[in-house]
Amino acid sequence: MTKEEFIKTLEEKLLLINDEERKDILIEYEQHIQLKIESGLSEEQAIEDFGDMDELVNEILDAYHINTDYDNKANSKVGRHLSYYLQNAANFLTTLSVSLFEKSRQELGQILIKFIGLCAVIFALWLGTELVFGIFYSALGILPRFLRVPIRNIMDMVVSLFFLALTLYLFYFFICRYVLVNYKPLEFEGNVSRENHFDAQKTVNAVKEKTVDATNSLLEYIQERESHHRVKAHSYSLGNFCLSVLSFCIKCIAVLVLIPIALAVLCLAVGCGMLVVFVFKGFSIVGSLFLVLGLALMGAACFAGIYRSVFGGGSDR
Amino acid sequence: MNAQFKKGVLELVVLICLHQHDMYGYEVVSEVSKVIDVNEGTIYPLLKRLTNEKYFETYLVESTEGPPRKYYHLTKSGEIYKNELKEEWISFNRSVMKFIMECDYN
Repeated sequence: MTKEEFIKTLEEKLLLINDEERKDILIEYEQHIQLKIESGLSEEQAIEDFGDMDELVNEILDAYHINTDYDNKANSKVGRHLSYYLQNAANFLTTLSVSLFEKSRQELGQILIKFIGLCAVIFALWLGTELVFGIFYSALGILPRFLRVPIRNIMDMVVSLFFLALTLYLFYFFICRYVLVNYKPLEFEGNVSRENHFDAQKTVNAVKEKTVDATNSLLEYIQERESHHRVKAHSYSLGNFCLSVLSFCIKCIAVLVLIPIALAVLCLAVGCGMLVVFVFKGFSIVGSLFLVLGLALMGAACFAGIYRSVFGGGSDR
Repeated sequence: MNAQFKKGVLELVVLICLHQHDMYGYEVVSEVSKVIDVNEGTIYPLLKRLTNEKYFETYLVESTEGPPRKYYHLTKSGEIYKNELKEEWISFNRSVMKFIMECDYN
């Protein structure tokens, strides 16, 4: 083994140690070999004096209190793949949000219409399959019950999973086709050994960059919107109308659902807390349970009250 | 010599070597090798560990050939540690010797 080979192998095996320290150690070893050669030994001999490479590595790692039983090969492989997928997913989502902010109101409306169309197609597909399977299930009626039920359940599951996958794929395809025109997934660096150990760092950096990008374009978007408002250049197209309906619906949902849910959750949380306290204080569990049920009912009553006041008020007008 | 013996006493020998004067890595290795027949590779991690534990300080000195040399200097806490270790070693050695003598007489 030559000096370069020795240093290179050692470097690969000491990847767990941080860059600076590792460089330090390698310089020491390199210097040592150099001085040995100067004192008259051959390169080969100087390196052999270090003994078994793995033992040496264990000694060094031990000095850094690193557990040497740790199987870094298997872990790094799984970690590499995992971080690749995470990086890609983060990249996709951030690119998507950035490009959504960059789109104008008109473009957004068009995309929304297309999206509704896609949803309708998926729904129609689902309806069709349900129909076919409904006929199939009634044909299954000739089978005995213990066969019929598991077959039905399994098929239901398969169909659901298939639709989930199909929907996700179609959404992805749709986004790539209409929203992100030039989107390319990141490439997997399968056989680079060194950098991958710092993939986590890279992912963090990439996400950080994207977040900054997203924030910037959000700010730009807000500015742009404000200037649009001043000009009042509203074009009442179909997309615009859809967008307004959607935002109105979201507002309604926020009012109708979020407030009662928050109240009910609050009641339940108070109830559970009281239940715990009462149980620990030695009260009878049945009594405490009634109390919690009462609070839950109160939450439900709040929900019903708000629901009725919103809808009742609507019908009065 | 038994590898476990060496491992235990190596730290003490390194500390005593550096008590004399500051040395760079290779010097330490050759000094220690005079006393104990030891794998040279194991001394660097030891120096590293003792530096991390603040028993040594390091500084760089430019050399005429090759990269700058890293010198190790024994700190105050290193000296205390060395004295403790030395006392332990001597008393340990003494009791073992005593035991050996007693067994030999009987």
